[in-house]
Amino acid sequence: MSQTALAPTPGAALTAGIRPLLLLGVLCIAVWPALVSSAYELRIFTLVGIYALMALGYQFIFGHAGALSLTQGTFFGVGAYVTAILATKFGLGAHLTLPLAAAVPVLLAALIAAPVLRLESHYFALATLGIGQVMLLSAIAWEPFTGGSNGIAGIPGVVLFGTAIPKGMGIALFAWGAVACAALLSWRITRGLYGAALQVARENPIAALSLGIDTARLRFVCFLLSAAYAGLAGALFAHTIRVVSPETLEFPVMVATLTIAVVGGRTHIAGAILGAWLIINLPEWFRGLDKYYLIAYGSALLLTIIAAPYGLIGLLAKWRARWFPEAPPPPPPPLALPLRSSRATGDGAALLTVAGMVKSFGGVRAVDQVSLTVKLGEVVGLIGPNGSGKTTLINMITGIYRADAGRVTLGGVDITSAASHDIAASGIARTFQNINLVDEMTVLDNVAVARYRHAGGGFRSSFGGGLTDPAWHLARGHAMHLLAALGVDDCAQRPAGDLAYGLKRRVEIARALALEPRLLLLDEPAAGLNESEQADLAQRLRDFARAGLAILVIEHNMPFLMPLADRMVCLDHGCVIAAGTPAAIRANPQVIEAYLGTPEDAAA
Amino acid sequence: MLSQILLNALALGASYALVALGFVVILNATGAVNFTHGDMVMAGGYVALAVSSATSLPGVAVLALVIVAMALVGFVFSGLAYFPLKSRPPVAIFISTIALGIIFQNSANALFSAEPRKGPPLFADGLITLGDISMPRQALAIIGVAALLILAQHLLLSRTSLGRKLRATAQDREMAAAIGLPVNAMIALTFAMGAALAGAAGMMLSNTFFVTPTDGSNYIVKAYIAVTIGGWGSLAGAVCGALLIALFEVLFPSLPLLIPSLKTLAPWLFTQTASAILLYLGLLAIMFFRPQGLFGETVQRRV
Amino acid sequence: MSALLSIRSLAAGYGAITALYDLCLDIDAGEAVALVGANGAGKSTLMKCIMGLVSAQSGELRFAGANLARQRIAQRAALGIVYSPEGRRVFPGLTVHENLLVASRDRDGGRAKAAEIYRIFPALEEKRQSLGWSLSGGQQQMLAIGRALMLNPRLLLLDEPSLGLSPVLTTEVLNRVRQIAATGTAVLLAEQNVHKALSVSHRAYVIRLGRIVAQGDAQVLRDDPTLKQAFLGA
Repeated sequence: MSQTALAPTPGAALTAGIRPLLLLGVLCIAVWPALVSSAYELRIFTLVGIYALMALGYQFIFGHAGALSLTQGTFFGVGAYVTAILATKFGLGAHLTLPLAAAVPVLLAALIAAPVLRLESHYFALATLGIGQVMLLSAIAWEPFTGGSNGIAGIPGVVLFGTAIPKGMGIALFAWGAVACAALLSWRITRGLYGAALQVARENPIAALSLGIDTARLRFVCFLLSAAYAGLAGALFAHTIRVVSPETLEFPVMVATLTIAVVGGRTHIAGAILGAWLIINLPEWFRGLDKYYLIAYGSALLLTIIAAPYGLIGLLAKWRARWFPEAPPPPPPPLALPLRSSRATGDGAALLTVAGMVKSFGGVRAVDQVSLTVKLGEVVGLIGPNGSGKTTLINMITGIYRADAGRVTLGGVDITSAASHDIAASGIARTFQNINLVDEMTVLDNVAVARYRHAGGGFRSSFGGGLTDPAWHLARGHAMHLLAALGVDDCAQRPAGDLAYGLKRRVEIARALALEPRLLLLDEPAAGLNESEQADLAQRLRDFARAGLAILVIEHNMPFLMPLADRMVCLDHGCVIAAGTPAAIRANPQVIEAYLGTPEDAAA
Repeated sequence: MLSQILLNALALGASYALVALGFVVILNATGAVNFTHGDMVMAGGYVALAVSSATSLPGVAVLALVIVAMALVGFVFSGLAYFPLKSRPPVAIFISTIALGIIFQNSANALFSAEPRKGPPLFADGLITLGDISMPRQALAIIGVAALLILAQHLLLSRTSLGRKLRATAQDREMAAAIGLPVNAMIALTFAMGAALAGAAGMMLSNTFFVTPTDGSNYIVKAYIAVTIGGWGSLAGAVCGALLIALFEVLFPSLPLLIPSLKTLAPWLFTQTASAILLYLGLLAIMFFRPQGLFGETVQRRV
Repeated sequence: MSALLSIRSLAAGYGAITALYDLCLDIDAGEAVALVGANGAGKSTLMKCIMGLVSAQSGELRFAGANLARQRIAQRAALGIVYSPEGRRVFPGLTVHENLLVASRDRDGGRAKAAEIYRIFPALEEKRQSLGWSLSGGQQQMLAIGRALMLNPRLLLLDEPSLGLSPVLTTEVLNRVRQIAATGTAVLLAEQNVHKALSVSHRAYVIRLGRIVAQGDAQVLRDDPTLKQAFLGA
């Protein structure tokens, strides 16, 4: 669901998107306990809540962070066992067992995160599977502690500070109360700037890094959150069912959670609840299927992943947008943002110094002893034939590649081995050859998310404010200002993927400026633009430079670059072969040779 | 004693090698991890069981039927799990294979119940005695048959025109399409091949280790460990990795038998469970310290 | 004699962006034609358009008399148009010999044609049993061209073969272009290394920002000042 600012009227807020349906759903859940007739149905209702809670947690790592973890069931089982052991062997009340049941999986998650989280998707998934197997085997083997294959029985119900919550209706309401709190927390965390940052990190990690977003850290936090939710769900399970056995650590629990998330919708809070309700009730409805009900699960999962990858809630939202489209909400008013960073150094000194950069790939020197400088207020053009090392050099400056040798300093600070996201935060903003916007996000949100670091960007800040995240509101205001400065403010509420190439390019530049950079790195910004768009872009870049920004442009388009650049540097086969004014470069025989070849070539 | 253990390890390793080989062949061709691969091993065991109880065919004939049946399963599987999701991110295929794995497992459970069942032997049960060493016939048979299957697959891939096309498709699908190779057919064939190898392994394992519907997750993790050890994408590496895993699994718990002083040292360490845990921990260690595998990648992929 | 490939008033691009404007071009069988221009000028786009990877927005593309616009990519390949892409992309785990054979549709599995390829590129014969990834850039480029030739093309589209190659290797590879053309295959060579490209071609077209700004005999074009302008601006 898109992050929208507070709508002007409550009526509009209630009918936005699929909210009417969701409110209906909430009403049903609230009313249901009064309608159930048997203890069995009440237990099912409680189980739906427990799995909804686990799925909500799973949405952090699987949905928002986009990593297919297979330990959610393990965290659930660990939470259940912790509760069982603490309640039966140590007689602790729920006011202690519940937080501990959430904390122990978090500790476990933190422990395994280091080796496992940085792995690519399938490595990560199978590593988490391996961990799950280890925990299961340990639970069976460690008999004195865990009761072995028989598990632990006789777990008391929830006893809070001496008061026992009655089983049946009591525990059902308690569990759903927990779900409500968890849902509220999930909503708070993902509704604003943090949620937008998660989306960018998931959809386009390279872009996220270039905006100062620490994608590894985001994934880490999501992993811990998923563990906490799962642990709590496990605790509630233990208190409800009163027996914990190795079955709670077995794969079917994980499968159910994955199915819930995929079928319901992996980033929609309502999806976790709807999914849980469907998946837990399936065996009940298809009682006739008997032991085939898991086959129904598998089929549901397969069908959904093929036909509705965003789950049922996602499908509902899409249908709403298609058959009952609504006008997008008005964009927020622009908030002025200074174009120069407040951390500017004095004019005249070089802002960016690159000295002796070297990078080899498999024995071939892609960049060979390249040095250059860029001053504030200057436009430097970087040219050279294909394969001369320009993009490799830029990637080294922005921390995507590690240099083999050489130094990069920005405003006197050495950034040679700094992390990509930190380099972005210290004042270098870049655009890419293939425009790296997130197509599904609106133009406004694409730019606003670049304010992440400036807003203090982080997990804790997402708790602030009321119905809307104030940091996000501020960020979007700043974004409007920048979009207006680039002349694309009328596209603000459109999905970025819908825009024409030239407009996308301008949005990308607006996004780069949102970082309040001191240095702007542009990789072939004129590509794909027609002549009038190129002239417009050149003018804007000249204005930015005059305002004090340092600009480094890679380009092949000489009619665009030559009038714009103050100085140019030409690379060939990884080396600098010429540097100077555009006029000097144009007449330089080595440059001509690099592009055209030598007369001797012709004779050979 | 040692020779007995080594023989068992070799037999187990040969079966694992077939599993790992099937896994990596599909991985190379599609770039997607087939989570159902372990369940295909299990399915092979059950097909063998079904065929041998329904007919009185000799073990080798049953094997041939298992291979054919599983190849067909592989074909159908690719149509359900892979081709509808071809242009989506690889995680979608991962999920679809998980889904099909669930369907496989629970179909097996419904058809055969959850009790462990013993599959048919390749030739006959019993022992062969050579001098003062007695070896189980099945173990020898497994080693022989597996070696033959691996050799056959190797020859197919390296000596035939079809094999060339399969390898080209696996290495660069776009380029293969650009020179006119029928890429979809190649991929479907690869799935069939992978499933057939898994099925063969399943039959062989079902005689010694019995077969239950939930065996799948165990085999997929073993295949994965083998491929991680051997280097992601390398066929020879997968086979080596499989042999190493089997060696560890068989040798480690048997160490107290070879070195009696260990028996009193830490009896809980030399159990099947503990060695399984150690194996998984080893996997995590390899992924952390040397993600390209112990042998690295023998084929450099295009960047 | 009508040309093998005939392009008239071609406009093509990617979605809303036009990359080629009003382009006219002819190639005859057995001709080596160079297409030179700066990066982003439209050389690759033109080749992809001929291949069918990029659709023509307007204009006419005819090959051996047939209207190409009606043909899908696989059909164009069947007509005899073969594209050797930028970056070579040889199959890394196949040997040189296997790389050649895998492309062949001939009855004999391609052995006869492969022998022909080795005559054109003797350096490849030396490396027959070497795996694709172990070859140098120049050898890979020769293999990529050789592989394309295995399909018996009537028109070979060579996209920037000199990319990533040293001047010496570039010479070695490009010198073969005339030899290939002599066997009857038409060659369209897109190149950034202008002088070298002109020295091995019969005719050339200079493309700048999507338009042909000069054309004619390759040797004559070498001394044309429009050439320098096309790359470095006025």
